[in-house]
Amino acid sequence: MTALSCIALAAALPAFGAEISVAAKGHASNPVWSTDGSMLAFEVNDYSGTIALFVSKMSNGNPVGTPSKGELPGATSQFGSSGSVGANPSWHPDGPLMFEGSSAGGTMRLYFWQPGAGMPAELLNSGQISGDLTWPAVSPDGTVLAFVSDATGKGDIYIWDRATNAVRQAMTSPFTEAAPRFNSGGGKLVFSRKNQGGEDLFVVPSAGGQPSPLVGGNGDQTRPVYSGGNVVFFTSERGDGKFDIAVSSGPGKKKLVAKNVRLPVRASPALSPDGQWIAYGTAAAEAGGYIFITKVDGSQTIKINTQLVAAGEPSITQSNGRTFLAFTALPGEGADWRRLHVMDITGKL
Amino acid sequence: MMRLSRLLPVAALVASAPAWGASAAEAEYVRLAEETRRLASRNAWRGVEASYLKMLELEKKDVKLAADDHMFGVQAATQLGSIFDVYTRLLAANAVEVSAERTAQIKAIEATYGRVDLDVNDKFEGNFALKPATMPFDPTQRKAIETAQRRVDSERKFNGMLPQGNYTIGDTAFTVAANSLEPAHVYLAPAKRGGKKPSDGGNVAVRERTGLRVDLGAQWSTMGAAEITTEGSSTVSSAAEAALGGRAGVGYELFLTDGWCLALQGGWHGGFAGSTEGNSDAFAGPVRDESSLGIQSFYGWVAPTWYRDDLAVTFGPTYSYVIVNAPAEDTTLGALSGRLTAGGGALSLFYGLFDTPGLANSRSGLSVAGGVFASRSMSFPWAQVAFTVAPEG
Repeated sequence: MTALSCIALAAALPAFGAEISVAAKGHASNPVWSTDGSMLAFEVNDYSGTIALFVSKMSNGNPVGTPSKGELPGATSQFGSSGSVGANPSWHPDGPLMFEGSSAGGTMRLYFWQPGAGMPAELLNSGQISGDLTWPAVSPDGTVLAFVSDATGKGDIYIWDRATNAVRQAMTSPFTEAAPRFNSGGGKLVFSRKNQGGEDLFVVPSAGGQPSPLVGGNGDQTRPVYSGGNVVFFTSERGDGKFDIAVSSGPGKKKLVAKNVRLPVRASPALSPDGQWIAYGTAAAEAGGYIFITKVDGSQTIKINTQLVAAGEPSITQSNGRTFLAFTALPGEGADWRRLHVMDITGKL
Repeated sequence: MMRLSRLLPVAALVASAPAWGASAAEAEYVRLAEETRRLASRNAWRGVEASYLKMLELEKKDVKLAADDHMFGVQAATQLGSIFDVYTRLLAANAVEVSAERTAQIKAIEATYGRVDLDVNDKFEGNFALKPATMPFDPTQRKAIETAQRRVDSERKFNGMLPQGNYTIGDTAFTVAANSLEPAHVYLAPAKRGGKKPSDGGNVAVRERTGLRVDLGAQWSTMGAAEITTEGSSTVSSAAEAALGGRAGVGYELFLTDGWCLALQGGWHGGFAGSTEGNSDAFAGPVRDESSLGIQSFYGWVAPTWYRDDLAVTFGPTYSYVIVNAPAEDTTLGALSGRLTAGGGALSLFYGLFDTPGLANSRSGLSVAGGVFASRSMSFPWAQVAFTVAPEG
């Protein structure tokens, strides 16, 4: 067999992936690649009140060593770390990880962690902003953080500026806001607002100003994320608990690009690094082993056969010229826990 | 008559005292270790820090801290913003038990932080606020900077670690480089002293160690054997010994260059009770005279000083004017009396322990000194333990 025929055979084989396992029992969920694809953060939820956050070093789609667990300062006692939460990871452009965390029964706060370089540190102290802090989102230049605090009893979006160390409210409103995300220039924030029973999307200048409506409708329009000038989000407008993925190119505009998707535990729609593709799993049981990747304009969809069950929560990265897909899935029908997998999908997009 | 049995418990207690001391220290260690864990679980980091420092004290009593104990110290120092303490405690934990994770943390600190030694003269009147060119996003790095800012603001000095990058303290710019344990020294001198300006690199300036030098303490002098002779206005006719006395000097230290100054000091040396030995061929033994005034001398001392932080070593020549009045009871056996001048030398080791109250840029501490002053006919070796006030180095 020649080397050339070996390469041809390898290219024709299905893209089997690596499984990333940890000793902790629970559902692996919410994988998020670091910006350079060298690390993969994910949660393990035991559904008994503890959500552990792990980071695995990655090399060519394979885990390197044992994943590091993000232990909160003081969260471990002689009684263990039961009840602590580390969740909703997102990566800072400079490399470290941000996430929501709380000790058992404690307040949810935002943490900043450089895996392998010590313990996570609380990003903002209670003197700066009180309440449960959630939904951290950092501006593309890494200087401004948007997040949600329930200090007033409802969700309000706040902005923290690295240069001034000052926290300010992005806007005042009687509503509950959530899930802020910056656009590529950092000048705008898109977010969801609980409005007349359902969530609608709004945009506000990150420097301050009045929010303007982007997309409304029946059900929830939620977890928005910018893709260039478009906003990609989940929508349950069709009802029956079904979620679709829609794209808005401007106020009042909405185009469905994927129907009946599996709603991730926490994540926004997963975009490819170039922002041109949206990855998702399906709620349709017969296609549950596939991860679908659809162009933002809806013009093309690719199916990735994971050969697993109930695949979902995808995350895509590019590293060393290759494209990798992380996702969670059950190893088989009736399995107890979802597990985390990585597949090399180079050349598929 | 006391029964022997009554003494047995006492004897047993005395015999077991060292073991009891060790077990008491161990028990205290166990208590502190539990307290540390309890406080850490409540995020009471100042309490964790205090408990950890107490545990460190127990190491003097041969208690061995576990790597986990040091790691609680690491957590506390992290929360309190002292990265240098984090660094040294990680090293201490690794000294107990090497771990790849700790080694990675140590390397991460070395790759991210650099040593600094910031020092603002107490008489400096300008702005000396510490500011980074860019405040980092990382809360641990921010806390390290904020801790240094508070220290500089309240104590006018900071010796520790800062995130690598460019900073200003007042109008002086400096750079903190990672992967270097050699501190970036920045010193802000009072304008009237014309302190050395920072170099173009902006990160090296030198505190000019200048100021009052006072030594006050007990001294022990001896008088060596001498030939019977007349020297100056004195008559030396005895071999002699001497006893405890005092030595007090006041002077000034002048800055020369980084690490060196010149000490100028004058003072009194003497006061001990004189005694003489007969100088007959038989050396009939010491003959003490309670009315003796002993030796009183006044000296001058010019000596270079080498210093580093709180340690200073001063060594140089002395010149003394000596008044001796140590008569023997039996004058036929000889006496030492009169006045003479003597050259000599003195060596002093000083260690500063605390800032001198009410005196700017001054440290107080202990010194040990020794020397000799000698005439043509006899020598006076001496040694001293003194309370010393010296300039801050």
